[in-house]
Amino acid sequence: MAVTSQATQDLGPEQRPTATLLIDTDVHEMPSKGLTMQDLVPYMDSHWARFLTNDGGLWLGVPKPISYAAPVAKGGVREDWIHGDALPGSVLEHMVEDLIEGEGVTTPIINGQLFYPTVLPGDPEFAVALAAAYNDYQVAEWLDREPRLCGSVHVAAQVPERAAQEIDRMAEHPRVVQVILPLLTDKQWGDPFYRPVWEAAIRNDLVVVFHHSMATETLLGWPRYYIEWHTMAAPQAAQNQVMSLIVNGTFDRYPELKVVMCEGGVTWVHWLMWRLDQQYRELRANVPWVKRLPSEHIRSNVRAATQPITEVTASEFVKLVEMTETQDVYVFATDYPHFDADSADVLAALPEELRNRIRYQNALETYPRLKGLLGV
Amino acid sequence: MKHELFPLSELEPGQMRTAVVDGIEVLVARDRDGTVYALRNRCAHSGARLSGGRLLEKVVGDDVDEYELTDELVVRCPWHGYEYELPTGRCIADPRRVRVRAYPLTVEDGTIWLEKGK
Repeated sequence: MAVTSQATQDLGPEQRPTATLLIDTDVHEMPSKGLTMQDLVPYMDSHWARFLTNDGGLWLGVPKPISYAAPVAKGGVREDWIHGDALPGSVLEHMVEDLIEGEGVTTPIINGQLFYPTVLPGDPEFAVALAAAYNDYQVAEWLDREPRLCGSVHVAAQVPERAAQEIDRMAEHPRVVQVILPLLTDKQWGDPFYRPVWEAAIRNDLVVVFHHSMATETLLGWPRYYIEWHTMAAPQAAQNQVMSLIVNGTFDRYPELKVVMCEGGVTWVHWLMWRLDQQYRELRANVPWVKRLPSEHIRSNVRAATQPITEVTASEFVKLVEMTETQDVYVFATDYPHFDADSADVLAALPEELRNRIRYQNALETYPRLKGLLGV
Repeated sequence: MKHELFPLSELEPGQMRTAVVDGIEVLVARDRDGTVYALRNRCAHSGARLSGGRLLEKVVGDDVDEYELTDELVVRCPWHGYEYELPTGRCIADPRRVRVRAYPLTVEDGTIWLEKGK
């Protein structure tokens, strides 16, 4: 699908409105006081705020089962993005300097950092309130202060109807473009339990984005070393959840639904397409409500954020894309501000058409709100 | 060219059997409504003889946990379970890319005839 009008196609490449677009689908902002969530107090329902301030209540905090001695820079941040003692991603001016001015990202889509009310094990009403407070904090402290940022709706999906209400509420902000969810929950994402969330996303023209959390284990649990967790957790979970969405008929029921899987890299997509297609040919009768090959659902409904794209070389990536016809599947992501963030420079070796698809075109075709926001 | 196979009376609805035409093994199957169909007797996947599999009601459903058995019969490969439509030979799961050849049949005076080019 063309993303430029006929009139703009007549312009030279440097004059087209999309010429310099770089849409970043995985950007992590962080409240200045971190996961204590003290920054949310002004935005929190008065009853639940007492649990954040320990004033007649006590919140035990975001669950943090992950614990590794990771050989990475301070705060898990790219070395040249460390700014004194500021928490990673916690200062808007640093994000502008590092990401927008430094990397040339024109449209960062912020999605929080290690904050997933859906994975809170108890007190679902508190989780609902926390999500709403974060959303209001995000608007006031980030979106309203920097017009180039786009944002996310955080929800407590363990209460799907309340999550849907929150999506409806936040969708009134024009630069909210997606719903952010953790990769792992108690129920797999294909469970019909979550349908109100998908329906709310669709009726508000929002994409649903999945990102691993500190609760995302590998298939074998917590491996001995960080390298094992960092290799397997995200792509394994992404594969499982994409499979769950497909075989539970989510995309047959909601063909408009678009999902983006973050931080799993690029190569898991192809294996899953091949493997799940093969299994579907043999076991279709197990899931007769699935009407198309899984690979076709992936091409039309699933997007993979590219970071870390360097798990393959450019030429290897091009071959994979050609083999599986997945040129529409990838959207650019830096994973700002983390130590293994990708720069858009890594796209330079790709053919121009594929490079532009990843820089902006696929995102424009995936996120219904972006075209209008960016005027293209 | 038309090839005489066998009397229709030798194949009850819901059954299948094989025949050999010009050295090609053909699966002849009879749907519940009495219509007969012929497919090449080799699965497009790994080459198993489809005649070793089963004629089963096609399973359909429009939502999770909805399983409905239809009157339409499909042949299921004995090796990996690929399902083929009798009229077209197309694999139900992957009709665009996976199919076995389907041959036109006629029934004349109670005998099944198969039309096959060279």
